[in-house]
Amino acid sequence: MEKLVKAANGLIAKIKLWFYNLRVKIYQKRPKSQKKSKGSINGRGAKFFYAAILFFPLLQFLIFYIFVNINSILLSFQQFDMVSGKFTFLGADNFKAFLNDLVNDPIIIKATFNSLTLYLVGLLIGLPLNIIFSYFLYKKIPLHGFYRIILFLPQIISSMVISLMFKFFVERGLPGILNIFNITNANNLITRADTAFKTIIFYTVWSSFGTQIIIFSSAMSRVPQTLIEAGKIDGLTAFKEFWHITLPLIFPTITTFLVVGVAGLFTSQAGLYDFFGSQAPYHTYTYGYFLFVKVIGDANVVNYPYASAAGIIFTMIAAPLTLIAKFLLEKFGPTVEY
Amino acid sequence: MLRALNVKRTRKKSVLSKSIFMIIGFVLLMIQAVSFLTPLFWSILTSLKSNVDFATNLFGLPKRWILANYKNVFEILTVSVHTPQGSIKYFLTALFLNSLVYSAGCAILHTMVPCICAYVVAKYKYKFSKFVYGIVIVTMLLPTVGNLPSQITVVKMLGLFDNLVGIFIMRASFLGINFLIFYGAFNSISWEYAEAGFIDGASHFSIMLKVMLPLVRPTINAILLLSFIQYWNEYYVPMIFLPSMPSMVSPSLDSNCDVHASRQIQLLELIDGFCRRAHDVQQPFVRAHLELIA
Repeated sequence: MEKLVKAANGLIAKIKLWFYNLRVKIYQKRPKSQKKSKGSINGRGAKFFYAAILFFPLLQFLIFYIFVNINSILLSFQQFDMVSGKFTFLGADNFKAFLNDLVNDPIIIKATFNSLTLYLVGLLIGLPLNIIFSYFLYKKIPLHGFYRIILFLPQIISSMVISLMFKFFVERGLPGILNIFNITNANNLITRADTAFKTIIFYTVWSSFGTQIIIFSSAMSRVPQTLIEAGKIDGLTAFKEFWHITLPLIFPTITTFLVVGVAGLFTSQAGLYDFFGSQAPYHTYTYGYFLFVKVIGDANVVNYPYASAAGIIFTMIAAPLTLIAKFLLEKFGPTVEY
Repeated sequence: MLRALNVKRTRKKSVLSKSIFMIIGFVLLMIQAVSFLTPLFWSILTSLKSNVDFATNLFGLPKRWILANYKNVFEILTVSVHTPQGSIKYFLTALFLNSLVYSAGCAILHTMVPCICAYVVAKYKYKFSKFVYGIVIVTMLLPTVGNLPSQITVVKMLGLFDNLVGIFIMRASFLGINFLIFYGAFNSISWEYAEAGFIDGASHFSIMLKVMLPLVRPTINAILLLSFIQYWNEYYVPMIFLPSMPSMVSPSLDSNCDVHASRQIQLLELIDGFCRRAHDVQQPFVRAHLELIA
């Protein structure tokens, strides 16, 4: 048995050596010019390599970004023909229909209101809380390691799990706890018309911590210690340090979030699909959810053109808004060099 | 003397304000932690109770600790997929594998494609590289809302619908924040390493594979982990584009199923694996952020 293994090893070694010799021979036989150009970045080899690497990603980009978006525009001028099962040209009717709905349809009017509320709550409560929590973690308050894990958990555990846990607890557990304090009107918070959307707003803020905390607190840790030391000699308190040093210095990071977040006004689903599937009550609709349930499912092919038209109108609002937000924040936000 | 007294007073003031600040932070974060952990532990406790026990004893510890719920989940929980050949039943282990394959595949692509593109763009300074960089920045700033229907029709047009490889191709985009993270990482690595390799006769490809990519390995690992979490959480893309490959989330979306214990399993799997590494992911984000400002 041992002999057999030894023989096999010997054979493998021989084959390897043969291949090595072959490669050396091939290399020696190559024309000199090719050998020279191989290493430099301007050589032919470099260009070939460059093109070979970028070819497929760019093709993918052309199809799944450029073509998808062009197709989205085409789709918005079409209609689905039930008989042939194909899209045929229609004209601007989808846009008219959506603009009409935007003003008249009570569901979309409610969705407008809800989306704006959600966006403003995220901006005025969610973001400040994220920044403040990050600051506390950065200042290493007691138990900060534990809090960091807790705050990051909603990102690690599936959002579906969190929403189920939340829903189950609010429906079955919370009324029981509140009964102890004689609060009896806490039943069906998620499904009742007057509380459903408020509960969902709470949920979105409550489960929003995580990625932002990581980014903000690492941005804060880049603030030079010398600045803070200098401030401390002049009697800088923790509050003042936050307001006058930390906040201005991490403002570029906040700007990034604000600018990228503008589109969230039109895309945020606020976990509605997690909570209700495609049967969310109308009074909780947001734009993002409205467009999503219009499209999912095989039967909804009919709605594709309408949804595309809505998407294009939203994009036409969101794109300038994003650029304006970027311009304004960069112009009027605190600018610091350090 | 007077001056010393003043310094002392300011120090006292600053210590006081610091402790007030600490208390406020501690309390605020404690509220968040309690509000998060209560439902979590309550759910886990509930999953260990029998139905009768749950009905009579909403908050207490289980009278008898049972694992039957978990056993049931493995045995009873199924998702049926209807195909022309008949319907196929998926059990939890199959669902778990589906989720795993999808998330791992997407995570690897979503890390490696931006990584390799960023390497080429950062290190081969042709004019075209600037153009590719510009594409990434513009597509990040330009929001595109509601192109889902178009995406579905294009995927169907190309015959990639309900095809795992097809969805992987759709996902293999170099756009997004990951590109910028890797771009920053490669920019901070000296090209001299590559030149040393070229002198020894290495090709461009092997320089990338054996010299440059190992140098950014920590970044790759961190992004791989984050992407995996992201795709593990994301359910609507497989739901729409891979209807005959149900994932872990499918039973929760299917209202007929008893989802109560399934989520506990998902929970335990994830908490165990990722909690401890949560703090490892900070570094690449800082770089990405730097790139965005610049």
